[in-house]
Amino acid sequence: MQDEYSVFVDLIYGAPTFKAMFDGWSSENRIEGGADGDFSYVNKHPLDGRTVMYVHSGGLEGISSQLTRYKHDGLLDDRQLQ
Amino acid sequence: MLLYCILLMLVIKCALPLSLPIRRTPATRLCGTVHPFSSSSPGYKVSSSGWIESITLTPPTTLPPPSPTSLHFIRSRPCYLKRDDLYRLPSNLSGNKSRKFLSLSSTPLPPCIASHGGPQSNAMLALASIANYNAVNFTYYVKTLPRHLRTYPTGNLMRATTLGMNLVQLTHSEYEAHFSSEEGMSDAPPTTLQAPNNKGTLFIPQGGAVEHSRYGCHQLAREIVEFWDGVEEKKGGLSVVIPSGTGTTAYYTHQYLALNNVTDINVLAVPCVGSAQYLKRQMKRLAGGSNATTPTVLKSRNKYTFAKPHKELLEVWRELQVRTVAQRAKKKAPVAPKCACSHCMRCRSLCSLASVRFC
Repeated sequence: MQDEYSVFVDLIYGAPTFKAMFDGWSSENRIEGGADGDFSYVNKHPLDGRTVMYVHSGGLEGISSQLTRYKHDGLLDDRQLQ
Repeated sequence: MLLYCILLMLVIKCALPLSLPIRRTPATRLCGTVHPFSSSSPGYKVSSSGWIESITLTPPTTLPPPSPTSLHFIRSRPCYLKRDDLYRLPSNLSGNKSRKFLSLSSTPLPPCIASHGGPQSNAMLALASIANYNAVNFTYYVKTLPRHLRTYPTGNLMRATTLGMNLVQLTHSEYEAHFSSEEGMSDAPPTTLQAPNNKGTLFIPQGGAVEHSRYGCHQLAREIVEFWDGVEEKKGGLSVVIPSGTGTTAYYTHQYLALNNVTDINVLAVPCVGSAQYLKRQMKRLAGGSNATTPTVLKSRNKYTFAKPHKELLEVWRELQVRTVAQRAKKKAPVAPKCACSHCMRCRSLCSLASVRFC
């Protein structure tokens, strides 16, 4: 499945991080921070107009046990795990 | 031989700093198991309970080569990947833990190290590797293991155990009593617990969230700055997105940029373990209550419980593998233009994919 163009991250840190980035990836699909006063962005998403670099933290060895949990929770079947 | 021993004893005695509260007798040093680094005086002090109060870190003499950076197009947007999953230390540490424990893994270690946390923690496995590589003991405290893990130890727990980790199970209340304080988890060794080795045990807080991590994270920041210096078209500055638990990597990376007045690179920390507020608090704690700034926290719209399966996360994970490939299949250009880019391994064909000129 993977080739040099695909991005292979872990499910515990990688997937939620990309999810957070995608939530503000384009201007019509963004979240507004600042409601709890804890974020420095209110009107402008921090990724607006910026070049993005994701720091891949590794942890790929944990993917198989995570996928087993997904299977256990009924989110994946055997065919998809192949 | 006897003369040689006496001479060596004298040398060691002279080399030991006078401030050491507990001075190991030279006889035990010579007759007991000789630590590979015991030829020089140890850079730590041992308290009466056996815990080490502070340790002088020795940065590595040679650093591993910088981790590579690749360029991808994700949802039509260029995105650099800093491949720290490929960063590796001689003790076989890779990924984020190789940054966090960079200076610890090159420091002469005491006879024992101890830590605590979850039974599948990455930090646990990293410490087990360091301990194994340096031939010292490693004791790890966990809450009582769930039955399935007790019967069938898997994943990081199994790997760490095979590396010689000594696992100590505590009841929930015992664990809380030893390791929790009012401000959350403490960095100091627990006062209520006797060190597993009274000749000197180094305590590493949960997840390795200690100042030890600073050196390795600054190294990461340095590599990012050098990379960005080599990029010709710096569109709008660089945002470095770091998945975060306690925010240690994000904070120290940010600290390096702030200390060196790098203004066109900023750090965004994404809370993956606790809440956004928890992450912000932890990073403020690392800043030591000073007025130092902390990275911006970037959170997703929905809340996800740490390590719990979520359909949306699985979709994102799949998309990253599949859709980026599909994009190439549709838009593949017959001839890739020449690219003299030295900083990016994959630019050559990627430049032809998008109309954006990146190099």
